[in-house]
Amino acid sequence: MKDLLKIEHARKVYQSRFKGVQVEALKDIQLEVKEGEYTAIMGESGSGKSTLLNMIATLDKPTSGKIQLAGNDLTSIKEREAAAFRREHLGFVFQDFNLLDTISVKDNILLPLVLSKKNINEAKQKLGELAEKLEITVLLEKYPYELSGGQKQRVAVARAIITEPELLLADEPTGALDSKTSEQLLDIFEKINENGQTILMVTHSSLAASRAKRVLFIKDGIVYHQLYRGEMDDKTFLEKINLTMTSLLPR
Amino acid sequence: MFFAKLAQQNIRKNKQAFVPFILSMIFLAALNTLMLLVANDPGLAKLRGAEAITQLFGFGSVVILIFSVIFATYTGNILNKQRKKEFGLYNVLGLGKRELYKLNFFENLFSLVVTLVAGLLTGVIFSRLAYLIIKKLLGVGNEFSFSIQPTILLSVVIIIVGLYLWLYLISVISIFKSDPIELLHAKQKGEKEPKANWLLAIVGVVALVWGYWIALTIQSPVSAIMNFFTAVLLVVVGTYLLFMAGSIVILKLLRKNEKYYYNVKHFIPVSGMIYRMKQNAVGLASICVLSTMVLVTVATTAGLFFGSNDQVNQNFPREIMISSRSPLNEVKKAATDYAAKENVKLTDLQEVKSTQPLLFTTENNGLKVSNRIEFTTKKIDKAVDVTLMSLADYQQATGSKLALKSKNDILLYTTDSKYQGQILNLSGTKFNVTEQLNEDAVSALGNLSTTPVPLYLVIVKDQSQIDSLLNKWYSTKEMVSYKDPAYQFNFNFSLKNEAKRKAFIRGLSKALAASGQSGYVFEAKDSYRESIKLFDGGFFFIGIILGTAFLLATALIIYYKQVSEGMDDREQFVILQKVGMDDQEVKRVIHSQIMMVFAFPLIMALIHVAFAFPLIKKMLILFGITNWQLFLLVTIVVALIFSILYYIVYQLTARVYYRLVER
Ligand SMILES: Nc1ncnc2c1ncn2[C@@H]1O[C@H](COP(=O)(O)OP(=O)(O)O)[C@@H](O)[C@H]1O
Ligand SMILES: [Mg+2]
Repeated sequence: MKDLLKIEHARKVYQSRFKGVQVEALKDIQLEVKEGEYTAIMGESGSGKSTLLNMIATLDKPTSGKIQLAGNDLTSIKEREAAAFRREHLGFVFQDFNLLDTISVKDNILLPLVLSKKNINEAKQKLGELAEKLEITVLLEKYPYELSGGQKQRVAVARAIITEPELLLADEPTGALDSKTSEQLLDIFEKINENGQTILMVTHSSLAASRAKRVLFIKDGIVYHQLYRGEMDDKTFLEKINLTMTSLLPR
Repeated sequence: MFFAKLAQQNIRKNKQAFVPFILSMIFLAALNTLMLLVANDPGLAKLRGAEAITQLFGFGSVVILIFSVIFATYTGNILNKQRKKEFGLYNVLGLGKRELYKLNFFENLFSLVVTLVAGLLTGVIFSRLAYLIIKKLLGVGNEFSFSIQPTILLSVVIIIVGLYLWLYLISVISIFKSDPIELLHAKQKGEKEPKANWLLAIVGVVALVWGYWIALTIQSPVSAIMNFFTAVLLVVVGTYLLFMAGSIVILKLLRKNEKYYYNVKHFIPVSGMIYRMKQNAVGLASICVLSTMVLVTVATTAGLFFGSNDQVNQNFPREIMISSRSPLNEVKKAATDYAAKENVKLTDLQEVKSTQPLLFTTENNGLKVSNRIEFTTKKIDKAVDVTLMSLADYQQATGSKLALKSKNDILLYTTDSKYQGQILNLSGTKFNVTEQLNEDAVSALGNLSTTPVPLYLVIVKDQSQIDSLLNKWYSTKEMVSYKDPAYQFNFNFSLKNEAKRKAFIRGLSKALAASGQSGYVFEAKDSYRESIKLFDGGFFFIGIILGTAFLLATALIIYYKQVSEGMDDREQFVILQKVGMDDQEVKRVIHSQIMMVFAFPLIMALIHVAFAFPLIKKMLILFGITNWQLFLLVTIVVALIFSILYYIVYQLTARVYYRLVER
């Protein structure tokens, strides 16, 4: 399988508002994601997970290093092109859903297709199929503020994958959900991954990470370990992840 | 005092909410101070025409007071809304409603003190400025005392305390009705999308069209005045309904059209506008109504002020005008003698004899005699004045050589634009119009009519015809006075120095009184000009004050809108970017939305003014302003200045908005 995403020596330094104080969020990140993979990136709060994801999402740029996605060099991409790139290649799911309260669920999901100037009839057909699959058909005419967290996140997933992106990025997608709805969301992720969707998920929950096929651990600004699920079941994988996490704790 | 301290802290912490609130209250206090100081200046009573001007300023202060109550309620409500969450938090943390009332009381008390001190101070300072304006506009000032009367300041204090009590009552009720959970989530709860209310939208359209229709079809100045408030009310109601319901109906129709709606160019704007309209319809409608009020008041009063010269010239073709129901021989002699004695030359002498202006109504087949006893206001649109004059008198007064062949022939001068044809039917007596005279041909005839209804000057061959017509028309005893002739003796005099002119007029008036003739009316252009200037200047002053008040209110509403939208839009901005809209595009979309939201009320207001124009034009005729081109110019200039000010306010507050969005 081909590398869809390739990051080499990515470093990110934030200039603090107080002059002179710098925060090195990422030090030297090295990672690849192949097509069809379901990868989780784990790390504690503040370890730079969102920073990494934002760089892959072209919302931010590394201070140095190289990021390649689907053959494009993201470090040299311009703001205007970046927006188009996001639209065409990427899908997003965020911890806080990021749905527009001002438009209906249906319009929220259609939004990326409208932005890409897709034909509306085709778009609506896609929407219908997707809504069926994600069990949100009855919600389509409602407004985001009328939905529960789990429902909102499923809508967000629908919006993320309706463009059939090469890579689905998820930043703490279960962060605002209870355990039952988290479970449901992860089931959905698993299902769409089985249909060939590449997923890169960032989380600090080992339970969520244990549903992925591969887990990367990030600490002190580097990827310092990774685990493959292989033939392990969820429970064994989870134990292994937890074990790795405890070994990471400062002695 | 725990609560006093907490209240103080709260105000300091919630600057963003309290500053505009307290500023608007200070503004209201200052406005009332200024208006009351000016309206109750002891000097006012000493002015010529004091009664009218006192009434006018009294009216102005009442309007300002009503405006204050409405506006204070508006800002007070916004403050309450902004602070609901905070109150909820306090409530959860263990402050009961009773304590919240107390807290609120102290907050109000502090705001009150600040408002009073700053408001009275700025009010007094600005009343200085107002006096300067008055001096300039009214051409008076020495009469004004410019004093700061303690009783006035006391009444301002009472007004402001009253306003604060009212606001306190409102917030107490709002706290009383709420429960803590609701308070906490007051702002988060997504508002329901408004129903597209067809009925209200249609009622709005009907009201607006009706109001416009009244304005366009009004016939006479008098009915313009009578229908003005109906038209205003209809347009105000129509505006509110259209903004609240009409906009939603239209936007939802657009959204139903999928080909249109699901297009990058329209998707965000249309959905964004639906959301904005539901939140801001009332605010936007208020901006529109207030803008219209600014434009109408300032344009009308400015038109009156700048047209006052016309008004004077029209009513006074000569500098001295003397009229009576009997021949003015003694008066004439006394006047010429006095002028000779004073060594002043009288020029442009006019001696005119005619009938009184006779009240007629227009009927299908001509004019029908009427009188003030039978007349009802329903007929006001049909009323005309008919003045009869014999050919000999006409020739004598104007030096005209025109002749009339038969007794059926007449010369006619009329200001009635509806009159056409060769025939004039006066209550059954038909005349041939051999020539229709133009304005120049009658300019030497002085002031033929003092009422704003259309005039017919009918010149017949012989005086005997006039007498028999009058006898036929006015047969009863009550109407005998209609048969009186009207004599005018008008002239100019050659004096330039203002003091000398005044002295001459005074002396002349005395000399005439001693002439032995009675029952005449003596009028001097100079005195008339003075009182007109006072009246029109007074109006213009009120117009400026009200205009400024409404403008500032508009600015504040715009500011509130920018702040509340800035907070909402920030979220939208970020999300759209993440979903793949580029920075520039997002900015452009949001900018164009804001522009639309702002341009909309202004454009509506300008349309309102355009429709109001014919109505106001007619009303101004009552005040002797017939030069409508001048009024049009004034209106356009006022509209232009207002649009520029509006744009500046928009730009200034837009900065607040962008600061919030791009934080
Ligand atoms: N815009 C920023 N400016 C300055 N520092 C930032 C910014 N964003 C993140 N950081 C810092 O970078 C580090 C990593 O943050 P983040 O990527 O959000 O961590 P995580 O998502 O793993 O919790 C933190 O120390 C954070 O304070
Ligand atoms: Mg994060």
